[in-house]
Amino acid sequence: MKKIAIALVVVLFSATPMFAQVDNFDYIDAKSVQQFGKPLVTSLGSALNSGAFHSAKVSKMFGFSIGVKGMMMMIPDDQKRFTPDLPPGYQSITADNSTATIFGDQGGVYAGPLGFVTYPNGLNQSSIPFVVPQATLSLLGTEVLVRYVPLNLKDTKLKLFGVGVKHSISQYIPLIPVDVAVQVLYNKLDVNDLLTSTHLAFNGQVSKTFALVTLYGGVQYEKSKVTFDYTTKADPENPLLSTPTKVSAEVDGDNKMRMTVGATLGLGFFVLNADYSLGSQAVASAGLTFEF
Amino acid sequence: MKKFQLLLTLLVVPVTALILNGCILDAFDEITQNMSIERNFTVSGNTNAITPQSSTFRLNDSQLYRDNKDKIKKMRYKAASFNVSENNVPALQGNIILTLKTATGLPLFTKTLTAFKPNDYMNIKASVLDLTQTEIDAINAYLANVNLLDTISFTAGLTVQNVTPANTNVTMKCFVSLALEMTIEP
Repeated sequence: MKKIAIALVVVLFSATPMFAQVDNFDYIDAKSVQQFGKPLVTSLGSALNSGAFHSAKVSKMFGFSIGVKGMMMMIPDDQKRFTPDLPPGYQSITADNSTATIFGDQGGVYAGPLGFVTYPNGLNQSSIPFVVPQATLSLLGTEVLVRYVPLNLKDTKLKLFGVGVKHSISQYIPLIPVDVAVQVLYNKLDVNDLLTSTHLAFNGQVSKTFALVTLYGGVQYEKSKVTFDYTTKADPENPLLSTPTKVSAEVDGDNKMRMTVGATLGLGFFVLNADYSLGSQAVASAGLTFEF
Repeated sequence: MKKFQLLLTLLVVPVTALILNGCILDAFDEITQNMSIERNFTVSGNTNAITPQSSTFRLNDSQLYRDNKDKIKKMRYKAASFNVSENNVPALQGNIILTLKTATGLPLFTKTLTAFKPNDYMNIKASVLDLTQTEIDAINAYLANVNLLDTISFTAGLTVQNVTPANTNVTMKCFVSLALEMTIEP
């Protein structure tokens, strides 16, 4: 059991520094959390709604797989900065009136009649990695996918649960030259007491196998929502944070639709796949799977 | 069960190692946070004879600084401003001379706001002070030794000259504000 625990720690370690950054939220006022945190919601959604398939084929009898999927979300420049809603009379001390989102660089400093309003810097990242283990069980043309990671690491307590159901459509269409399936995917990720996130996706997928290689693609509708719960730290010098304020904000991700293309190399039980998704944040995904 | 554990480890470690090999973790070596600190003044008396004022303040006066002081790797100047919060003489005008000195009296900057009209700023906007690079470097040098940040202090000075209307009793509340950037080791 200890080895499993170590493996799980390693898996999500790549994501935990992002969550360790949650201290920054302590200095984000209720009005700004929507814009500051939205790219994080989109990234989480883009990550957790990825890697759910590497073929549209579903075993007609019995199948089992276990594997790990790695995703890299590309953060576009327009999700790195936002213009905060400030009280009248405030203006940036620089020519740029914007401040960093969680993935941006420099936090803004704004001068106004009540003193300076300051924002924290972001992580200054253009891409964010995420890794998740998953297992599938298929029976009679239907596949169930499960993800589960409970993780306590330093200051970060993280719990991920995901479930998906995929059903083969091509099994009902005689002589169809490709595999076709539909899938629904639900993920829930909680990080400390700060955020609770839910991610829902529906996709249609198609694949064609040529010897060892399978080419696949899909179109996916998805929705991500994060509830941020925290209390701002008091900063009497900052007019927006003069007293501790409890913030509970629901933020929807920008991830709505995506198109995915990819390829799978099957080497017996051992399956490698890679794909690329175009959406609000482009996602490059790769996976290692053992299929039985 | 042992085979399952081995399988999971074999699957997980290579992919994770590949991802961790990137530069993502470098970004978390340090984070930066902007903070501000203020010093209030109350100017009162007859406009013919307003007494210069000075007030000493420390970084430790800031809640944000206190929250992070054990993790600070670097502190540097971002901006300074002069604000007016109250003024009982709408037509008041004069030259405002602002100074900032170290604890030992070494000047960090001196700024004169000529023909300053408090009512143009009161609860409307800030007067952002335009420091020279030499003045900014002097402040940054004073903040350079992070081990001393907890003990160093600033002395802000306010002098009002050439005030009109003459011979009028005035009460003006104002403050000098400094914005600083902290680099913090998480």
